[in-house]
Amino acid sequence: MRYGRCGLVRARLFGSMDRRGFLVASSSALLLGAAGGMRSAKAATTVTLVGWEGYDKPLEAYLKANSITLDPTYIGDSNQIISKLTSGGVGRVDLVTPNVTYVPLLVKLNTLAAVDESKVPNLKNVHPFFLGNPSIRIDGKLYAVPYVWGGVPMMYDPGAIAEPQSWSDVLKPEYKGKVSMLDNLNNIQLAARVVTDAKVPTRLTHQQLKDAVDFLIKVKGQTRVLATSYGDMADALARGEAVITFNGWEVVVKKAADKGKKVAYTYPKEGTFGWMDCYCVVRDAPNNDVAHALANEALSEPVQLKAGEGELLGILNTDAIKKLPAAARALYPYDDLEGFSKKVGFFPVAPLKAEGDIASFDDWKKEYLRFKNA
Amino acid sequence: MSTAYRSALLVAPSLLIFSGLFIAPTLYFLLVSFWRFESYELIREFNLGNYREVARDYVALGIYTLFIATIVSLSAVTLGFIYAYIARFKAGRFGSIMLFVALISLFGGYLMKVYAWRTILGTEGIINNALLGLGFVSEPVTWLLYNPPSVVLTLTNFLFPFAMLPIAASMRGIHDSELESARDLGAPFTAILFDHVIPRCKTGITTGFALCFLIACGDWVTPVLVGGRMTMLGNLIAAQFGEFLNWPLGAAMSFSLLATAFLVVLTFSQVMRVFDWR
Repeated sequence: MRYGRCGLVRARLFGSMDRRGFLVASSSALLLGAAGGMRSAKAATTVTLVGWEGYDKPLEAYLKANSITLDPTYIGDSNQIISKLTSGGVGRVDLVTPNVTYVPLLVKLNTLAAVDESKVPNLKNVHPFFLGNPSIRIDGKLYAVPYVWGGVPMMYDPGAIAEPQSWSDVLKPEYKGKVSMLDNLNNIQLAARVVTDAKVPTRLTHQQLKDAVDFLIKVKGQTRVLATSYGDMADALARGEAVITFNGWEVVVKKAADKGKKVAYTYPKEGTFGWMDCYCVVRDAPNNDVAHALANEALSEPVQLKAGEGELLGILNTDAIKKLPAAARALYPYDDLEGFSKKVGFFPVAPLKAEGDIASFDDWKKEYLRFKNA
Repeated sequence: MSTAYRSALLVAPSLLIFSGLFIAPTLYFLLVSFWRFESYELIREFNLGNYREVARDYVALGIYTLFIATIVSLSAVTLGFIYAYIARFKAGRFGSIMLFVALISLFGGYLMKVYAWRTILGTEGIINNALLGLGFVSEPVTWLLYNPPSVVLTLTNFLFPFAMLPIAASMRGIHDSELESARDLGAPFTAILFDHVIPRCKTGITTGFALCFLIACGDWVTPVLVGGRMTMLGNLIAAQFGEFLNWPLGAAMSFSLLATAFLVVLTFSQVMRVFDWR
């Protein structure tokens, strides 16, 4: 995507409201804020970041106050972080912001440094639900500082249909042509929950993987259009072109409401997957201390409030959550994280290499191409 | 300094830039297409696996892509020819303005045109509003958008100047007196068109077709935005270079598409030779 028409693609993603793109307007301040041990940063430090556009916005003030210059490379997919780090980024890049599900893979590839927890005192303010995510700590060492989160619910138009119960409801004949589906490889996880008995929907046998993709192809047949972003999805719901979705984001409710449409979400009975993007310090980072300081600042109350209120992201600083305005607070199940955890899994991506009959991540990509080609 | 030496020296900078910015990257990606990508690692071992995969899994999609690109290119060339003909021979002093208008439409940007068509054809677009307003339909029609015809329409609109301008350039070489002479000698319009105008514009037509065809073949944004579930090979190539990072397979797809696209352009130029005897 960095080649040829990359400008077009970036413009498209930016203009339409991808979850990440939606954050574009918001996060530049994140990298600005990390207070704590930032005195050393006073002497104009340039920090290299590879991550989601917009996550740095809430840090802007902090960056400015501490004379830190950010040199960002924005991504369209967590895979690009892996690509960047495995092709010469280690030793040059300071920070990355992958989804937590990619952290074990990044650690396995020896690209991340263990976080020095003494340099991230704001970790104590993180809700235990998020700190308990097994993917952030590997062999007892912390590799990821959680920053923001969200779930992947099923969106529906309550004025048109009753609350759906299952992901497979999208296959009902009456919804033909009224389904909106996001083009996303992780949909395989959702399909796997419906058509396989896999306990972990990212550890599928080759047959289970094939069955899951077959299911996705059936769902594709129910859609008129594959949504390229959550903005597209909100538009389709608002216009009445879709009444139910496969994949979703809690914030679609707000975006559809802005267009005058009441939309609701539900976590279907089979469950779903969640995402939690983290700040990770890269191995041999040239500015290790500053990277830690920024990760720490990302967890501060002001930055978290900006992320939650301005960017409509799920936040995890307990004090900031309490201070969120009602509208932003209503977007995520902050008051029932226990219930949320029972429906939503944050599973590490499929293994790097096939393990017996368990399909590798490469197998997933190959199968997903079959879906795209269908 | 000899003339040949001086000429070589003058050409050298552009040759250097062309080689550095086009030839070298192209050759590099050709090389990459024979490697493989496994577990986020580029394995630099020569193999034909990627091309085998393309032949096994993506031939149908490739043919479909070429088919769509052919329809788009023929539509753009036909419209471009008509437009250029009117501008050159019928519009008088407004001809230049017509060419200028077509030219400045290029400045509007590609995405803007795609989104414009999305708006025009959408359920809340101009067409649906007109149909509803005139009482022809009771609710918006949905079949205008998110299908292959909407992709053809959008791409044709975008590529129209690319087809029209080379043809218009060719037509500038035709003198009014040539057509007047033919008419004076009793030649009907069709004879003038097929025996004189088209043969004289053959280069422009072929160039316009080639430009449109190659761009349409590789396009992947339009199918995503107005094609609904439609997929063209460009979409899969983009995925390989983007979300899947499998550059070798993406490169193999690209070169396979490029090779077949050249074959189509070559065929078209051969077909145009039918006008040679005239």
